[in-house]
Amino acid sequence: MKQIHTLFEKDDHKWSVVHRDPKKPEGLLDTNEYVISYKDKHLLLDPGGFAIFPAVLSALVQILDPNDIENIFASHQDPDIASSLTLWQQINPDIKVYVSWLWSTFMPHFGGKGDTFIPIPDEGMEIIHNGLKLIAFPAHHMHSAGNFHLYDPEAKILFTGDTGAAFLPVDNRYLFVDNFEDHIPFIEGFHRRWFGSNGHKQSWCERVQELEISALCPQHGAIYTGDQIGEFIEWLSKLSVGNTRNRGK
Amino acid sequence: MKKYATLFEKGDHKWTVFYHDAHKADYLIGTNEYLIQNKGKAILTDPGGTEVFPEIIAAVSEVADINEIDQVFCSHQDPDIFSACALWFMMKPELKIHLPAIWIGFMLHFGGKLSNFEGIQDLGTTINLSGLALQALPAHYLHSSGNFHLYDPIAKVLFTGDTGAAMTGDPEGFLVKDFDAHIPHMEGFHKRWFGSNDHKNQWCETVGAMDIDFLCPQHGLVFEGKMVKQFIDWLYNLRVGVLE
Repeated sequence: MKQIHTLFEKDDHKWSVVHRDPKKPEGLLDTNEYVISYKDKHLLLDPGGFAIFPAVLSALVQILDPNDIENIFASHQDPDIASSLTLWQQINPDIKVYVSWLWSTFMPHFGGKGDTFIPIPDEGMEIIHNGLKLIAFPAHHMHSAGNFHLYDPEAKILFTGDTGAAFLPVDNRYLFVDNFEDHIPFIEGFHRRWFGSNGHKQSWCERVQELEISALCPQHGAIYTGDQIGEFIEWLSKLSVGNTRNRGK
Repeated sequence: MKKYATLFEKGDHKWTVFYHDAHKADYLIGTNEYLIQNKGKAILTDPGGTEVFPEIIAAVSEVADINEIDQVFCSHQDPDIFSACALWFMMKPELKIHLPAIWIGFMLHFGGKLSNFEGIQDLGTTINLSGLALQALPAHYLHSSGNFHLYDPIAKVLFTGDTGAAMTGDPEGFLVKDFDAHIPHMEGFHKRWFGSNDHKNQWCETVGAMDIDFLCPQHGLVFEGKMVKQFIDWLYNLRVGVLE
């Protein structure tokens, strides 16, 4: 079973993360699924692919009633982000999915109807989840063309999708970054290769400084807290990305 | 039923384009699929998502025996590219999928097993279709981080995935008839979806030197003859990565 960890809890407001799938298929990229619970209604962040739905659902039912999952936030359109949508819809046919407007006609290729999707405009938007105010924060071209992070101003948690993601060794999948320098080898290749535009990456590094963040939470790998948040942003701002060429052989 | 047409045919070697689906739901972006046949074997490009799976199977079956298709080429990892792979694996458990190597760990979230996926390294590769050498050509960051096009040097056809894509179809045909009139249907897409001018220009320089009769995107219309060069020149001069 995937493990469950509580990241934040205050009255009716809670962040949980489901992580480290011990039985994941060979080669499949492991994912962290976050849930924001507010007054007994839940919002799932990047709930994962079709193939891992049973693992995610069986962990989540330990802490919540899946019928009360009302919203999904999809940072972008990748297979590992929300291709499980069609299955979540079997549980709650009225589930809503917040995703960049760029992908609102692509995502129905794996499920959902027109009114399932709430398109997020490029500049971002406020998302009200059962009364809790959240902010969709633009992160376009990091790596996806239409890409958002989700900020919770109350909990001071920023969900960053693939930004900050690490490919950790299967036998060392830690949940929190302990030492930033030691963590770099697991994040450097990914950010250099997947991110294509230094300009857009730089813009994010500047804008994100305006947020007060106690936890920076990627969809793969480990969570950054405390000083490591600033260290990560500083490191990313100095990294040159887009490191492959289109020149052929 | 989707419409289809022959792009190239010489002996056992044939390209077919599948386009306009009259029954497609409005909320779903329309797609073109291309089938390359050679000497009794076939490869299908970007075969689409679960929603369009029945239409694709029905249309492709008009042209080829599904048993011929033992390879698939995926330009990148998007939902409309091959989220139907789990359904294909039920019919063809040994189906081989060529895709950018960086997406294998992600594509497994749709289904399948590691041995179904043949990762294409960043510089590209050659894909063998019964002796026909198809070339996977790098098109990284156009728009996807790991992205390839597929070139057939005999047929002189280049499949370009989202490059050249237009947010329109033409129920009457599959070719661009008037390049200038076509620009408004593709300009917004390329400006917004593509993020890196450098990588876009590298691609234009590489492809501009190739011998291409048909440039075939996954959405919209096919560019033929002199419009191929017109498109490449237009894209070279377009500023992308624009957020307004």
